[in-house]
Amino acid sequence: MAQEKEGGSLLQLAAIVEESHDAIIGKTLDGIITSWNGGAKKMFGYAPEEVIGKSMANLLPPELKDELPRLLEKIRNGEVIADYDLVWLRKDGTRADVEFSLSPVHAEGGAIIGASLVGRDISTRKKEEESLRQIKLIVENSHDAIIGETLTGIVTSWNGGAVKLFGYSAEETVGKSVDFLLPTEMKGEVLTLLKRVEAGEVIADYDSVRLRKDGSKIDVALSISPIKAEDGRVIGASIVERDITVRKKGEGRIKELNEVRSKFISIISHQLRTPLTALNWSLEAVLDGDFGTLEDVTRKFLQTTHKSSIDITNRINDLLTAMDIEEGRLAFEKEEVAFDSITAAVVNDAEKKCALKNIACAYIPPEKDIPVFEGDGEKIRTAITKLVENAVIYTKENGTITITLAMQGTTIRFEVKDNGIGVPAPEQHRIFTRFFRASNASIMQPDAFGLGLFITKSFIEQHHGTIGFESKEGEGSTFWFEIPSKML
Amino acid sequence: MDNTLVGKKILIAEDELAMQNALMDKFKREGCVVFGAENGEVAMTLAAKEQPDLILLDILMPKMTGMEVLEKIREASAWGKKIPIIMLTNLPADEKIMAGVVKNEPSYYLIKSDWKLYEVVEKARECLAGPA
Repeated sequence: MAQEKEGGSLLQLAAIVEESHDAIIGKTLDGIITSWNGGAKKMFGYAPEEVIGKSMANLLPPELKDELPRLLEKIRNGEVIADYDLVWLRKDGTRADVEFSLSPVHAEGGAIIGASLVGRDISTRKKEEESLRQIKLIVENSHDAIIGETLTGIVTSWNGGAVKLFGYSAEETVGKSVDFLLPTEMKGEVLTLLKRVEAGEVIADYDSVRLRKDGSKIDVALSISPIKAEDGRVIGASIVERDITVRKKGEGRIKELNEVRSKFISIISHQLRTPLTALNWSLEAVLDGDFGTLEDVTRKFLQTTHKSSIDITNRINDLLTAMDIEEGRLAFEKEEVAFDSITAAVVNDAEKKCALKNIACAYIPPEKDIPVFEGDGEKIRTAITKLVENAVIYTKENGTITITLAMQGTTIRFEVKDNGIGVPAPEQHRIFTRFFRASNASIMQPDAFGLGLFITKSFIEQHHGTIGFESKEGEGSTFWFEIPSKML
Repeated sequence: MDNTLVGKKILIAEDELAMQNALMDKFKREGCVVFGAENGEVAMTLAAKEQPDLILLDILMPKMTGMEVLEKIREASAWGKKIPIIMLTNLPADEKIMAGVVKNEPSYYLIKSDWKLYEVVEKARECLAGPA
């Protein structure tokens, strides 16, 4: 009975060994494998019949072959080797990190006759440890300060970036309230921020000021994220602080430059335009005959002078308008606009210029009346003027210009068609870009800014309209715009 | 011939002398009695003494700006409350200036470089003809 019982418990023990998740391997003192359980099979990939009777040394990578005799020597001396890490070779050639214990097996008389190895594959754990180690290194070596804090503002971790940025070592800070970093006027800021993080908020790029160990202040941008326990509770916060001294300096400089620019604009506006206007008005008075009738030669001479002076004024105005457009400062003065009389007046002016180049200028007025239109009349006038002036400038002598104004449904359409030099196809997509001038433009007009169409487009779009053109180099262009007669 | 302007007293406050000359000469030719001021203080003194029918007032002037002169004239007397004033400037109107112009009616706003000399005269005629 006793023997039977013993046999039963032995069988049970054998089953436990066989099914153990750990590898359990028996071997002689020479390292010859005598038993090989299921765990060993799983771990190494060998079936028992493939390894029993063979040396354990085959399972070690070449550089570790010497380990086995050394370990077995210790077993012979009755030592137990516990929690030993070694790399073994799997059947498929991959390496397994195995933590194992090696104990002597005693015969009934007490003599040591072999060794039993119980091993566990810790490759995954090792990998995790390695990646954790790397994350730690990354955090530690980060250029930014990365600080762990409890929700009450007690420092729990302090990386190398924090040491460099603030001048305190981890030993000086961990376990203390983070208050030492706050300038007097900001006391309480961190707790307020931590409250928000506790409520689930992530704070990004929050600009603030901190105190260094040497007492100097530093501009920082904070990003604060919650640290959560496994159950999802927020138990702390990680705070990344970045030195933004350089950025702040840059921002200050940009502000300064903007102020200089505004001042510059005001100087151009006032100090250049005022005397220019005085000049224009004086010339106008002389040309009007206020100071006596002028001889034809004198009149022509003064007219040219007056025109140049008006040109400068217009160019300054265009530059200022372009700046207003860029900075979103373009005003809009709503009034009732008589589209047809504006167009007729512009055409009237253009006819004089056309006559000088013997250009035939035709105007096709709208068939039915253009309804009273709510818009910025001065801008509509400028838009029409600029398109017509371009046609006159870029059309050669004896050419033709046709200006058409029409109602199409509820849309007002203005069009000016010429048989001038046209816009080269590869450059057409850039024609409304500011300061862009087509490569063939300077033959007709060497000195111009290239702002006219940029300004025109912006004015038309202010009226919810669209502007466009068709053009063929050497054959001519048709520029048009369409504006809804009822503005939104 | 429209003689709205004939015999009218006009004060022209403008620190740019070439511009003041051009304006004064033009208005004289229209038959006006013209006074010139080259800064805000002189403008205030002349306005009180002569009580003109119309003032052309530059905004950026030494000693006292045109906007200050405008406010003070409006506060000063019954005459000052109703005299038409045309503000002359070369700066785009900001909200503060526009608010000042609206508050201190009858006043008008004129960007010099956008106007021709004869148009300024027309504007003056319009102001003095009163509401049509």
